[in-house]
Amino acid sequence: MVRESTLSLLQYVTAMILIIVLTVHVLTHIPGIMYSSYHESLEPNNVYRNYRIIGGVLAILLPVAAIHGLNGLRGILLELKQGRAWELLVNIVMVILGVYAIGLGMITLLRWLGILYWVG
Amino acid sequence: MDERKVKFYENMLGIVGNIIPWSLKIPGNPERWAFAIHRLTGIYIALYFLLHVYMTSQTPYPKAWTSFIEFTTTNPLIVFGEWLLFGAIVFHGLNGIRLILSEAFALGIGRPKRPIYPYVMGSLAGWQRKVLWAIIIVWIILWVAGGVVLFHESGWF
Repeated sequence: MVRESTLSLLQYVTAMILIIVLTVHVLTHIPGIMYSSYHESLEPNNVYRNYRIIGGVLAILLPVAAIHGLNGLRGILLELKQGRAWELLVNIVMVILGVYAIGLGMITLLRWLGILYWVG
Repeated sequence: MDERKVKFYENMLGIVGNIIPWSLKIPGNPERWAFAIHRLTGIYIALYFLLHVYMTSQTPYPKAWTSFIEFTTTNPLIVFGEWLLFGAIVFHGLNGIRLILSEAFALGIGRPKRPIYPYVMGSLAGWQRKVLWAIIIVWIILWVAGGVVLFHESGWF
């Protein structure tokens, strides 16, 4: 069982990491930095290029954003309603969503980087 | 004591009853509004994150990707939602820096004082409040700028 103080500390640490890595991710879509327009940054070749250039940053961003986001959502839901069954339900749902998001996102990332190949 | 006369109240107000306290009007307490906005933007960003991970995993082929991007960049509802998302990320990030400084590192929250009427909490009198006002100004500027770029590229004007 993880202590609430540990989860709170985790929230601050992930927030500090996110300030850096999410800024990098957002900057790749800001016009004038890597591409002339926002829409241009979304073109398939440029998305592929982004994965190649900042793939490492995205690999950090994915789990950190998932932990920060879902831990934050958990905190909000436990603020709104208290109870042992509710806490258990929220914890289970958050863990499932976390595994899903990190797993699916990592597969996508590895596929774009050419480490895994598309199936189907 | 007769236990039958004791009435127990559960410490639960339900979702609506708990959302309302977020917008409690406490005079001279913009931190309360920042608290509420931080949570609302957090929920929006977290839900978008899950959708974002799912959508990017569903577009492995350039043709599918291009048609998806064409749809998202021309649909007014999605463009508006992206603009809201940009504003949410900017506020949440900037206010998050303030919270890290004041909550995790105890910076800018002032020192405790003797409780002499009219009592002003030291935590609300530190420089973190000036930071909050600066955040709101920067947030509005960046949100408007982001809107100009996003709506212009989507052909709204």
